[in-house]
Amino acid sequence: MDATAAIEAVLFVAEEPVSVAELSQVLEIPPAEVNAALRRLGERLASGASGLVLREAGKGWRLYTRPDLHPYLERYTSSPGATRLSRAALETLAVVAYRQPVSRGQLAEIRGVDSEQALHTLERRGLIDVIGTAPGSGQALLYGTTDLFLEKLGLASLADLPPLADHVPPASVVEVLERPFRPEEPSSDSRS
Amino acid sequence: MSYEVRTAVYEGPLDLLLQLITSHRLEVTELRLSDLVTEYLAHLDLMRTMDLEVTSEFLVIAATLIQLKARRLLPGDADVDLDEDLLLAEERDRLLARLLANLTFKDVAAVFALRFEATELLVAREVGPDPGVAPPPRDLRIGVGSEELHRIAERVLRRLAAEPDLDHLDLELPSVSAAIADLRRRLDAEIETDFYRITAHLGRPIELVAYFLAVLELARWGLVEARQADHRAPIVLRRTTAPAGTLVSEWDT
Repeated sequence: MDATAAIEAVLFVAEEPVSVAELSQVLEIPPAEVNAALRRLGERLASGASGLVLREAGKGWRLYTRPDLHPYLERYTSSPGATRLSRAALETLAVVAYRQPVSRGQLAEIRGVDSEQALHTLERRGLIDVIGTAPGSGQALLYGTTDLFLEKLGLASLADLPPLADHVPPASVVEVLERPFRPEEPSSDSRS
Repeated sequence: MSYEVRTAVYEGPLDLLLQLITSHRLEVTELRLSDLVTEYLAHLDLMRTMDLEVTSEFLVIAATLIQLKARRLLPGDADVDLDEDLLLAEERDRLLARLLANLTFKDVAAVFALRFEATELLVAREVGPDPGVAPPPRDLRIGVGSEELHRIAERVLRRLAAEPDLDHLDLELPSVSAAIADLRRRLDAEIETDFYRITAHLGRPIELVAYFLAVLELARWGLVEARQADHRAPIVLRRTTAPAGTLVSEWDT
């Protein structure tokens, strides 16, 4: 059996990324051979004149159309292209991704504004989901990200999210933020 | 001093504060708290004149800002409550922490937006309904050739052309009273049974209906106890001791 061709066939009909473990089970070959075959398939698609690319995303591997061919797909499906997420939705998604499971109240604490609308949008797009309820009397719904979120972001797992520390504002920005809240120095001009 | 209030686009009080503070970033003179408070309150006024809802979140932060500013106005040696001072400092630190967290996640959001942009040009096959909701039907094999299909079609068409067949119409309705009598006799023979067993001898669905009505009637009289564990479980029937007196069923006519 040609493992590379078999994988190509499976991924052609797959509705979601397929993991190496699953491919190994279906093809009845060890994972190491699956990985080698995946590499060969990826190279073949990249070097040949294929309109498809092989990509690891979410929980496994999946075939996608080549990005530069997207204009033709848009014309074919006569779709106006993907709708972008609003800034509010993106910020809400960022908080959910790093703070999950997170409640609406906890989101409001960080965003300073109720995020109900944004949560609805993200849930409808399949990027987040209710993953539980908070203990206690309130039973607030707790949100978390989905496998589709990982796939769309090109991540294999949540552990691959860029470290939050990399996004903390630099000292110069913190300094600007803190400035109005620092006690005024006696030498500064008279109080208003 | 008057402030030019630009109708900035902001989402909530933290966003507003961040924009007010960072808009002064390039100025040589430091932004003072009193100026920040004045600008913040000016925006709340503007929101009100524009009929926008000033939510409680805006007011809570306004209160914190005003308290902080008021504390500044007291002379350094004034007799202040240390506990209150400490609480106010905590309030200020919490506000700063929220601003920092907000800014951090704004930065992450920008990274997410870039990544989404990179992946939105990659299209994967999207097929069928969610497999969790409805499993796809098995591949159908027709199993007959075109000749067999032709024969079937002929048979159907012949039947259509034939005279209407009234044999299947059943105009003889079973009697519920008879069913009640029969059920009571059968229940006398065995103390407990179930509906399927006791109706096993019946051939037509309409008879089953009659027997079901009979069971309901007997249960209403208290002659039979009917139980069912769930909607698919057999209906267990149990004879109870008959009450004295003659019973009249509304099915007796």
